[in-house]
Amino acid sequence: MQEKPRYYEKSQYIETLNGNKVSKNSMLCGIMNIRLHGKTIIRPSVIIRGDLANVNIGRLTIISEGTVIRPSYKKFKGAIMYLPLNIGDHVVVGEGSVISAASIGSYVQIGKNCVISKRCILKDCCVIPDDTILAPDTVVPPFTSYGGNPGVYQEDLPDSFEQYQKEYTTLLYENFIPNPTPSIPTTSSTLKLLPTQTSPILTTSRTTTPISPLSPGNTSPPIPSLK
Amino acid sequence: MSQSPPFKNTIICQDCTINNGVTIGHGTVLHPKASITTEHGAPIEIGESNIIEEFVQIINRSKEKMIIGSNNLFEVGSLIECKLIGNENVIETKSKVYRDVVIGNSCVISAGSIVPENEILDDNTVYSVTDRNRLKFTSPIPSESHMSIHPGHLEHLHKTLPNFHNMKKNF
Repeated sequence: MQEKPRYYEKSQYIETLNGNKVSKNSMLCGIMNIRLHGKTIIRPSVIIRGDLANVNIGRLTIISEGTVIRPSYKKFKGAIMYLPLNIGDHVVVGEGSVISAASIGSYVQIGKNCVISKRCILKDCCVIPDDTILAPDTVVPPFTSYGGNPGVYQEDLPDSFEQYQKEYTTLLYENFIPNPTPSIPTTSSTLKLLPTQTSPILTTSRTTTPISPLSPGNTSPPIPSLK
Repeated sequence: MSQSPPFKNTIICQDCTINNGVTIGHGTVLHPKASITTEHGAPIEIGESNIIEEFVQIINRSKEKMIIGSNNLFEVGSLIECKLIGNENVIETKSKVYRDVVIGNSCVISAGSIVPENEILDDNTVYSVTDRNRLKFTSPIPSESHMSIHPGHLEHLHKTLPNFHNMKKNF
């Protein structure tokens, strides 16, 4: 198994003592109720709603961009109660998924754009492929794949899935490394970019203005200034 | 205590984007990253006691007024472009409601379904798009269960959300 290294800007991530890597662009509401058990990666624009109920996330869990993790609620003795959400170890969650399950076991793979509806229970070692929508209160048994809309049983998984997922998540974690090149060139490039970005608005530099009439639409501000 | 909504104040978390010309009724809760925008500056009117969750986009692409009633629930990531929505509707996760759709009262649109243009949903309609078929039938049961939970849900959110989020000031 091989995985391409994925580089990240060190300034954009917070690394804790346990090895959690949390993007600064993610949104963790109610931090005191969120527990990361170590070596968890949280990528940008993830929302974790710890303010609604406790959220526990296990070791070596990777949560991709645009995912929303929000605890589900249930009517309980007349009042609404938000249920705590537990996510196990070695879980991979794809981009743009919405997770409001009651609990997710260990060694679980969830694809892109999935909807895990309210109070679902995902046991250990299961796979949810891309674009699956699980109905509320679904229980996904171990070593199965549930897919489609609404999510139904598709196939069994081999016994080696646990080992596979273990290795896969450790690989993903180990290949998620800070950018080897120091951050000085990137800042200089942004400095170079900045004058060119501001110049069409100011219309001071003559090198940019002849181009703007040729490309219609996008560069509308300079055209009135030419007329 | 405050048994009966409407609550006095609206809860709007700081990370929401709200354009000018949007009016929001009392007791509505906007979770963070919800966005209510207008393209041509036409107004949007949102009623009382709605819940609008994360990544919900309410966009007015027409030049006419957009009206949303009361006691609606918009779940995570839904997209609403239609002109008229009644009361007590549930629009579930990641569903899309396109332009020129009219939604009556007590409708439920299931998760991930797309309501195409010019569709008219009468009262008590359940609309659901699955892999195999497209369901559209009338049943009062889903919205009844929604309305049995909704006041309690609102009350809970009104209690807890101000403790954790910075609120946008009234506008």
